Amino acid sequence: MIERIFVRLGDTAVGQYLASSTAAFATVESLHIVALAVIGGVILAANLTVVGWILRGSKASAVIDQLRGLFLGSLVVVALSGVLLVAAGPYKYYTNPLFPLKLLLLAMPLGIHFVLQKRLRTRRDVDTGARVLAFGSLFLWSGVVIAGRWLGLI
Amino acid sequence: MLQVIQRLYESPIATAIRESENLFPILQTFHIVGTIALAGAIAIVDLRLLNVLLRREATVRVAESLLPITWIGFALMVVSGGLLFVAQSARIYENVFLRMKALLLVLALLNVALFHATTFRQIRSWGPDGVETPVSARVFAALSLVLWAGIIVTGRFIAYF
Repeated sequence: MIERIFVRLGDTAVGQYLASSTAAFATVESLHIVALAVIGGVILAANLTVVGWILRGSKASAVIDQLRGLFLGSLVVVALSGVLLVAAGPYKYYTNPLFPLKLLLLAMPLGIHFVLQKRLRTRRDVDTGARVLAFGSLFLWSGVVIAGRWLGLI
Repeated sequence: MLQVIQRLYESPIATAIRESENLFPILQTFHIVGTIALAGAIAIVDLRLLNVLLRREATVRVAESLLPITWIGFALMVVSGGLLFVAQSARIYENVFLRMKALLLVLALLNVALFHATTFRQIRSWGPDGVETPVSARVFAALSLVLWAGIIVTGRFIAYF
């Protein structure tokens, strides 16, 4: 089932094109990293505010609210460019043990972000639980980047 | 110049990186983590200067609080990037994307130096309780975004061409 999705993705016109053109593949990869850098900025700004290292005195929930549009926008770009990268070489990813690990590492901080937002909205102050979630998010996002780099190497 | 490059390439540290199985990808990992921290923090500050992000926060607070992250990211990026370059110097010295990246990097550093020496001095007055960000500061911010995106793109292209 999953294998068929990967094969189908590779058979699409865009998948074939990206597999045949180094320049096109490198362009999509660059876009993936530029958008990832923007997400990195958002994640650092949001979580470091929650733990109290930056923007002290500002309400963490308000800061996260103001970052939401950019976060979601760059997440869409990262996801779409990521799907295109897989389409260019589906078997490479299907057989790579780091690929599911990277997806799992990605799902966890996204879940944490959602829980953290809810927690900050319902409680007046940032508590220890919120700080732990923020540190966890930073740690897991670093894992996503590291797994992503090694994904292309093995 | 070529002699310097050749000597760098043959230096013990460059040889050690080339001969190690894992050192090169480990340095690459540090390079990308550093780049993301640096470029990400810069993007947030630039977008604040352009008035598209964190509009309810004073510009100076956004810029000052993210400055340490840009320094940490910059240090990681420069050290790992320097070692990556040294390890391959003689092989990639003539790579057109490496040269473009170096040029963009110089321009980005000039841009931030010029910004800090000029209009940045008034940053305390910009924001929700102050005046609008001047056009000059917005131009610096827009240039910074374009230059750093260009640095990431040309950096990635070095590996392919």
